[in-house]
Amino acid sequence: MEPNLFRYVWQKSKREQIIVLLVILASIPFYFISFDVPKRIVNDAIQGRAFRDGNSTARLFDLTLPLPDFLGGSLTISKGLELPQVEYLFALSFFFLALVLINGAFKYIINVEKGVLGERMLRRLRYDLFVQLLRFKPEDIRAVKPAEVASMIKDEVEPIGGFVGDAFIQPVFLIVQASTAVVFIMLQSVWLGSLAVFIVALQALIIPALRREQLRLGRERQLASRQLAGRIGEIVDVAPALQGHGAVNFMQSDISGRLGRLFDIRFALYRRKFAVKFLNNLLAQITPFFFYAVGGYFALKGRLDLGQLVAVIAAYRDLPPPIKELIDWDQQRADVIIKYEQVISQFSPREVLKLDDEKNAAVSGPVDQIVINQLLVTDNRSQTLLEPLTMTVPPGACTIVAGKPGSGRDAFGRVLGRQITDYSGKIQIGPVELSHLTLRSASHVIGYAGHEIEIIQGTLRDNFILSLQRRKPTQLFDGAMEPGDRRRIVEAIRSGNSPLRFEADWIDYAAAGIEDKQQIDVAIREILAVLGIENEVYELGLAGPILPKELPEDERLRLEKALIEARTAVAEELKAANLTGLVETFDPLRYNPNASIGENLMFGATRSDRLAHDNFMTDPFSRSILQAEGLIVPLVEFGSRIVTNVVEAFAGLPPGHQLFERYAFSKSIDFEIMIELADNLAKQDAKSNLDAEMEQRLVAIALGYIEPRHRYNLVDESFKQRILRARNSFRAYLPQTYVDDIHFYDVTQPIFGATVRDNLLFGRIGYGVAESGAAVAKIIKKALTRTGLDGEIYRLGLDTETGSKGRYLPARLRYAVPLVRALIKRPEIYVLDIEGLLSTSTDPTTLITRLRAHCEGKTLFLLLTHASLLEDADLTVSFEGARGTVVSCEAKSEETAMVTHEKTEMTSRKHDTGVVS
Amino acid sequence: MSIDCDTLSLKNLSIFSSLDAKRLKLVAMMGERLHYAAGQKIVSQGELPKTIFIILSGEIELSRTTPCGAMHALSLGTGSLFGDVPMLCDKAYIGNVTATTDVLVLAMGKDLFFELLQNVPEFAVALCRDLASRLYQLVSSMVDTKATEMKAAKGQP
Repeated sequence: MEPNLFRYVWQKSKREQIIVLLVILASIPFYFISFDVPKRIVNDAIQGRAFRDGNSTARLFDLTLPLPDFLGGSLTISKGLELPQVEYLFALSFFFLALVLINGAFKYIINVEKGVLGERMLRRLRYDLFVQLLRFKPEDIRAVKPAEVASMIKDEVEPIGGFVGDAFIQPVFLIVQASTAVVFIMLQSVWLGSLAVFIVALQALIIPALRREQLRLGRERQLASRQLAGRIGEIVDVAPALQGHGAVNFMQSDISGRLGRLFDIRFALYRRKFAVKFLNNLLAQITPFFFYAVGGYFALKGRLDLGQLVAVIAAYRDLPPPIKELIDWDQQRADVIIKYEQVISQFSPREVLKLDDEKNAAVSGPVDQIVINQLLVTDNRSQTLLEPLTMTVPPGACTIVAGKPGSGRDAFGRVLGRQITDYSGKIQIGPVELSHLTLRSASHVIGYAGHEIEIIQGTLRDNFILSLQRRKPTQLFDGAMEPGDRRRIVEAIRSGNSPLRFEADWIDYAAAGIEDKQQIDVAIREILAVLGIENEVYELGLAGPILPKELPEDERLRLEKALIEARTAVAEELKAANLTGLVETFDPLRYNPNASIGENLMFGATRSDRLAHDNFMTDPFSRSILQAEGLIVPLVEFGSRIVTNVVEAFAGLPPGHQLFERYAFSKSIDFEIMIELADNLAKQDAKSNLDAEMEQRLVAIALGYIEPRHRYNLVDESFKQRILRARNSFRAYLPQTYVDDIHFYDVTQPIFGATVRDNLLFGRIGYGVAESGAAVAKIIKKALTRTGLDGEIYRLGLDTETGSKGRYLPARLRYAVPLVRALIKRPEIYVLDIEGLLSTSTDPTTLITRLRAHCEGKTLFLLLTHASLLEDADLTVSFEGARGTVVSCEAKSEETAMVTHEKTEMTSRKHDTGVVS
Repeated sequence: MSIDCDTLSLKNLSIFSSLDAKRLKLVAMMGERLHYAAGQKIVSQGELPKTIFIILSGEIELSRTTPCGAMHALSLGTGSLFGDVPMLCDKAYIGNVTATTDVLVLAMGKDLFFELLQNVPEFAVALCRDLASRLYQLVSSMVDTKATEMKAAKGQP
């Protein structure tokens, strides 16, 4: 990127800058005239110079263009108006008012344009930095600290953007303003003009110098007070020892000395500060003194008329502010340039990747053999990650890359997956060198799944098909677009941003071998089956909420009917298997111990946030029910008990862990809020006067409480009865407007908003009985398959939000995400690290067999720990540390004994398989 | 049965004796309390571990089917931890575990177990100590057995 900020700004916004500069130039005449008019008001209108010769009227606004005689003499453009004195005064005054408005309008336009320019440049700068970041080589990206870069793009460039609007316009504008005033004063009186210039120059020289000293002192003060704080902390730590040894006075004198130094610095600072202020004021006040004295003297001598004097004083008033702003601008410039250089240096690696290439050496169709020659990888501390490796992989071969985590296996996989681009040696895919592929063509040829789990926030489906989101939408504008969208696109182009819409369809359907959106889930499911993770997605689906979808009427009815059928089937099966005891069904007359207090109270599922636990105390209806049933006090009490216990148990754990999330009572209440609540509770003895927000939070926590799960012994028989009473009134008094917000449990209806599992069981599995989940799951699965609903469950499973870094996903799915991404785009070369998935598989061998079958005909590299899992691989590279040994299938069948380097070489030569280590 | 009861039971287990009250409570909170009837199988041989179990009360028995036939290996009582060893080294259970009496356990899934290890150093240290003492016992008993064997071999040349 351009290392010089001013050049960068000029390159990217030349046109707009020039337009604004022209506007500034256009504003000069008006600005100048606005100085001149007061003079005429005083001289011509008030003092009556225009009416000197006994004229009762005078001509105003006559405009004559002086032309030389050979062009026909002066040209009268407007004859103006003939006006008597009072009217003349008012006309001139209104003219002045108009000029004030025009100047104001100019200022407004220039400021707005400046702002727009700044915002546009900020947007461009942020986008450029982001694009640049994505062009870093993978190993360089891994070396950046995400939080740092994010804050650079977000915060640090912000003042730069603000300055960009000012970069050229502000100094020009200010200089134009100041010099217009100076020129005007000069025209009235050279003496006064020189005086004004002299004083302004004095200001411009002295004040920055004084300020510089002020800044230096400020920094010194900061340092001294920081040291003082450190010292005090240190002394407090050793205070008991000081007391014991009687060294208290000694230490007191140290602090006294430091305080004294701080006092000196602060005193000097004050003196400077007020000296600057004094000088500023003095210069501002003393100039009028000169103007009155010298100007008055000139006026008396008749070398200056009164109008001129008034106008000079008025013009002088407009002189210091631009000068002051100019000084500020200069300081800001120095700051921003340093900041810009810092940011840019972070975004200027030695090499960047080619994103796209029109005439790229794209490899299309089946790839040829892969020839690896003397491949050597070292890290940035010149540690060898991969010792020289030479091998040839025939097209369509399956290669096992075995080794411990951290061995050459990982480095080898990363090189093939283009995660390491710094290697020596050669890797030729057919005729093309791997490192010469552009990002785009490499993404088509290679499907790499490493052991890093890179999950973005979104649904599971979004994560799986991330590798397909690479087909640039061709149509920028379409007919159905709203005018706002069109404007947004134009604005994006103006700021040099990508005009392509995020919401557009980016999916490369052809790569997945499908035609449209409808088939995506089918394609995903196929891959889930290969990886053996169908069940995990299915489980997520069961835990997902059923929501009414935009479906054709008959389709919707069919699904609803199937759901009720499945529910009946589950109930029958449970009965047949004698497992009814495991599930506590939703019974309007009974408290369900396995459901939360809130669910018991509402006896239904919420479909919106209106009646969510967090809003229960703020919503007028639910609040009135709690109040009428006298439930607020016990719920607040429960909430406080829970908060105290949770805060005690989790105290002192490192922040950001996932443990708390597993135990969370309410999604919106994180551990920080819990701590805050606990602190407030500890402060207040009487819980009667809690503030509304605390009460609301405590109730929200209590409503999520499930006795057998959380086990605080809070819910007793009488409380259950009270909840049942509240349940009745809740249902009886529910206002009509709430009908869409809650769906009551009804065995003959689907419960929208509740999970699939709740819908099918029409109840909750009890806590604490071993294996109950598994037994019930079998029954549910059978019922779903019979009613043909299992496809829908997968769809719901894929709709699950992954949470940040996939924290809501089971480990097995987290491992699977990179694999699904690599598999779904059907590349020519698969490089798959399956160690994570294998470690959670009950049957690794079958998994590998399925994978091999799926990748039939394509080149497949499987990265794992034990080569023994696949005996008949075409090639095996075993890593011991950074050293790899290549064994081909033929070699293996002949040499059953340990194969050493030399032997392999010989055998492979003998068989001419081209496999050499 | 409340959290406080569970915390108290955990407190009495030797493995957690070094944990303070708040961490015990955390372990009790995170775990799921499960009940097994006498004779119920808890885990099967060859299965990959998904859960670790802390026995709060009752007794279990580990039996292993070897090529030479079924073998009752050992029984574990209140305060024992099982499932952690195979889980930590990604190996299958070495035998069947069956409840011999009514058993109450605190069960923890694999994800949770690793999260606890990573986030609660006290828990990790307690576990390490437990593993180490088991290993120590195992090695010393092996050495003892070996020594006895050797002595026996010497005794009857």
